[in-house]
Order: sequence, then structure tokens, then C-alpha cells
Amino acid sequence: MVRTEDILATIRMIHEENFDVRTVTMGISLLDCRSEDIGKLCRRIYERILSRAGKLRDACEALTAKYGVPIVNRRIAVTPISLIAAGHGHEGFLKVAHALDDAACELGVDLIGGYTALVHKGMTPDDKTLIRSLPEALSETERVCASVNAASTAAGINMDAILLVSQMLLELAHRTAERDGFGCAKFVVFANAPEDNPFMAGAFNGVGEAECVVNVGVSGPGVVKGAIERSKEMNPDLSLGDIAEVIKTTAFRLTRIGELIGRELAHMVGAKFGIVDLSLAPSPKVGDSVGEILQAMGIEAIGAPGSTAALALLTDAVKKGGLFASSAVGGLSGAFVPVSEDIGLSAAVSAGHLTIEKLEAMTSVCSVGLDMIAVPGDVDAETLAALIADELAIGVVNHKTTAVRIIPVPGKKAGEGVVFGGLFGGTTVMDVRNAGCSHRFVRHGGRIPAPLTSLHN
Amino acid sequence: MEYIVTVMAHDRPGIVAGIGRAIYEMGGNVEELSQTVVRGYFTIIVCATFPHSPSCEEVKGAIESTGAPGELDVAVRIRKPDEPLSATPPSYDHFILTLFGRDRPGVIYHMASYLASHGINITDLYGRTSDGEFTIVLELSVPPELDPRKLKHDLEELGRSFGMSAHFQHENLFRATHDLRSLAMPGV
Repeated sequence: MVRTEDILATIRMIHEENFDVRTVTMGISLLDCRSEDIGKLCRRIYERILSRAGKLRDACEALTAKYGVPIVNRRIAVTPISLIAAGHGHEGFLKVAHALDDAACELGVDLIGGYTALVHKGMTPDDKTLIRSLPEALSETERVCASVNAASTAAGINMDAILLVSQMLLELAHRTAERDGFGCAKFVVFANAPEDNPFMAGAFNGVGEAECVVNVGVSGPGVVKGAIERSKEMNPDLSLGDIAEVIKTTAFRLTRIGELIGRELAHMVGAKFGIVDLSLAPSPKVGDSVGEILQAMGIEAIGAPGSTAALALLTDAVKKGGLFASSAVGGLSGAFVPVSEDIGLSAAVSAGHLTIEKLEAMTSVCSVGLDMIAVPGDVDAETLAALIADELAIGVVNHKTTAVRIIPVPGKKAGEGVVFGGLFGGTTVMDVRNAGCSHRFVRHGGRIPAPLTSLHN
Repeated sequence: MEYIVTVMAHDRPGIVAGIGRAIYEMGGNVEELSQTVVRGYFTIIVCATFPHSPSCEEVKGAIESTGAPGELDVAVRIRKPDEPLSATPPSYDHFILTLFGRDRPGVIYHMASYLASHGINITDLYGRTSDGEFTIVLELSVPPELDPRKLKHDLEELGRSFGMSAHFQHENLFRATHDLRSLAMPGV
């Protein structure tokens, strides 16, 4: 017997506060698809993805009906393509990108991740080929997402890779200029990339993963905000410790639904259940925003002093509640601050409350980094590389995943609006202050050594 | 032999004590029971066993005598040993149907008729009106061959025809959100 009040509370989460399963992402190993014949390789990749993920749509629809919880996206993540297409050259990599796109299109999944290179310590010729192919690969395909792991706590920061990535980002933005540089929204550069992340653009199926895995990401900023507001109504003198408790309890409930659906889905499609990512993924809808949670906690203008502390409280409480709810937590597991995809953050940028520097500070206590920010299209590659290096340094030194998904918007200046549409939302172009002042630093190139892991201060 | 006893009365402290005393003094033992109060009215259903097999009238009289004259409406039946403990087999799945909307006559009748016509049993039912809004929560035992997609669609449609929103969800969802037991290891 389930208590009526519990039933009503769960229904409120789903129907009034925008709770959903944001993504179920099937990780598929392509390691044994490799072939010397590029045609055969592409055919094997296409067939492998279709055979493993063929039941995904039906299973998701059946579970949505069974639990009444929307599953917003079905996605695929594959083995890093730098390993799979190695030796096939520029044209070969592009053919593989198209094979991935075709498979995603056939399955009706909106994004497929894994056009990826892991170069935190050094780049092979194939890694360089993949990175150089990004402008074509991401402008010619619709659904392919790419990522590069350019830094790790164990290896340091590969500045050569970051500069190459930055040059490619500018070209990719130029190639997708008519869509405000949207191609760059499908690419992310990481420090300490997780191998089981279900969220795009950075999902790939790591080489340490099983052959076919289901990873789940939930979304519930609206539920957390609603819980805080209700608690404050009942007790206006709530302390921050009390607010953390409210968030913990709420995160437990959200994560449990992810765990329930992930396990059942994995069983239905014959895959292993991988992880639940605890991250609260926002969407551009009102009432589905991480920024609005900070506002509910009393930060009136996001970016104002206190924003970092409030975000730290939120991220920590989400982890504590979520960890108890799931036996398999992984991925990024924090609180996302993707600017264009979060109406509260996007509004804070438009109003001038939130700058890149403050956002960077905030990302040191949450996941996943400078995410979905638009910058002027005339920013130079070295400045972009320095911006990326700063964010990755936060991850490397603090033993956490950080990342940059940045969109240089061709022809637009700071303060102008951009619209990417759908879950990608829209935002205002942010000012990059002191652009051009880091060239000499970046051009030294090489690798920033791995940090000391003792003397923590 | 198992005796099924129901008692209905205007609620006051001491009704359960009276019923318990009557059963105890007849040498009986309570095997299972459930009690609820609606709008100030108490109702209880009890399964009791007695070593000396009294008649239903004896049990009824003993319980009635614990209240004021005419206060307790008591009914007693003997459960036949071959009567199944559940109206539906264990293979049936458990769903929760929740309805919200303006109170209108006939909602329960039409919903329950639809469920009955599909062999779906209502195992628990709760409803309340607050500020003209009616909330009904039904626990359902659903034959495994029925497609939840179709049921969800039909029930939502039926709810809409009464101006109510209907939500049809497997009970595991609510266990997941409010039960601390591990999902990986049921029964822990």
C-alpha cells in the first residue's frame, strides 16, 4: 500500500514541475567493427548500432506508458571514433561520421555521440585527423556529436590539442554561420572526461565499458525549486542547512526514478545497466532551470556574490541525496549550468549579471563547465584556447570533470542575441574581456604537467 | 473457521477496544484487519478465528453489545475455506490510477465500469473533495495481457470526458520515490 500523499507528491513532480528522464543513452562498443575496408567498416558500424539499439524506441514508449514519466531523448554513444577509424585518413573519418548520422536518423534518435579523441597526454596522427575533420563532420551531419578529452589530472593539459581544437571550432562556426555557429553546440572539450556520461555533446562509450550499456540522465530543476519554495512557504526562517536537506530528499526521489527506468530499460533491450547521472539537467522552459533554483535560494541576480556558494550547496546536496538512491552513480553527476539551455542563466547573461569570469568560478563547484556559451565570432583561436585551458585547469587541479562547449557566433558582437532552438535554447553573446592578451602563453604549446596530488591547499 | 466481521458507526474513541474485547472474551483471535474513517464515520473489516465455532449471530450480538443500542452496524460472515484470498491471480500487475478535476456525479461509476469490463480489479480506493476539486486514487490489479499503453490512453480519454485529468502509472514508480528499499534487490 502506497500512501496517497506520496502518490500525489510524485504526480506533482512529473506533471507540474517538469520532471522527466532527460535521456537514456545506449553505449555501444564498435571495437570489433574495425576493418581495413572503409566501406565494410561503415556498414558494420551502421548495422551494429541498428541491431543493438533497434528495440530502444519501443522499450522507451512502453516504459513511458507504464510509469507516465516522459523519456525526452533516446541517444547513442559509441566507442571513440579515433580508435575505430584509425588509419582511414580524413575522408575515412568523414565517411564514419556520415554512417553514424545515418544510423541515428534511421533509429529516430536526436543525437549520437562518440566522434571523439582522447588526447590528454598526446595526439596520434589519427587523433589529429579526427580533430581536423570536425568542421566538416559536424557541419555536414545533423545528429553527430563530438568530443575531445584534452586534459586529465593524471596527465596534465595538452595545450597543443587545445589550440588545434580552437582553430577547428572557429572554422566549424564559420561553416555553420547561417545557424549562428550551431555546429559548435555539438562539440565539447573535456578535462577528465567520464566514459559513461549519458549527456550530449560529450557522451561516448569508453573502452572500459561493456559492449552494450544503458546510462540514464534525469532532469528535475523544477522539482527542486518547487520543493525549496514550498518549504520556505511553510517556514520562512529556513536555514541553508535546512534547504540542503530539502534538496537531498528531492534528489533522492528524482534519482530513484532514473534508476527504476534505467534498470528496466536495460533489461528490456538486452543491455547492461550502466549508471544514473545525478546532474539536474535544465531545459529552456520556465520552471526547468538551475538558475531559478539559485533564485529560490535567495540569489536575486544570478552571478551576484553568493552564486558560487549557492551552487556549491546545491551540487553537494544533489550528490548526497542521489548517491543513496542509486547503486550505480556515474557520468557527470553535479548540476549543469548550460547557459543557452537554462532560461534563468540565459536571462542573467542578457541582463549583464553573469559574466564569463563569474560563470567560470561557479563551474569550479558544479559540473560541467563553460557550457553553451556564445562569444563574439571574431574571437581569435589563441584566446579561445586560453579560455578552454582555464576551465580545464579547474578540472585537472580539483580532480573533477570540467568541459567547454563554446559557440563563437560569426558576425555577432557581445550583447547580441542568438537562438539555437529546441533543447539548445538561446542566449546573448558574452563579452570575452582581455581578448588577445594570452597569445604568447598559448603559443608556448606543449603540455602543462599533471598537478601534485598531495599538499591540498 | 475464519469469520469476516464488518462494523460501521459514527467514530468515537473506544470502538476498536470494544470489538477487540468481544472477540477476546469469546476466545477468538484477530488474523487480519483494516480500519478507516470517512467524514467522521468509522468502518472496520476484521478476520477472526474462534476455537468453538460460534454462530454468526452470536458474534454479531457480542460485538453490538459493546456499543450503545443501535450504535454499531455489524455484519458477520463465515469465510469458506476454498474462497481465494485475492480476487485476481498473483500474475496481475499493480497500477495506480489518479484522477483530478471538478467534482461531477458519475465519475467513479464510469471509471469503475471501464475497469470492470477489462477484468481490472480495484484493490484500494481513496477519494476526497477539497475546494470543489475531486481527487481519486485507485490501486488496480491489472491482467498481464492488457497493454498499459492502451489502458493509459483510454483512461486519460475517459477522464477528459468528465473534465478530469487521469494518470495511470505502475506502482513501482511510487515505491521508488518513497520507499528506501533497494530497487536492485527487491525485498531488502
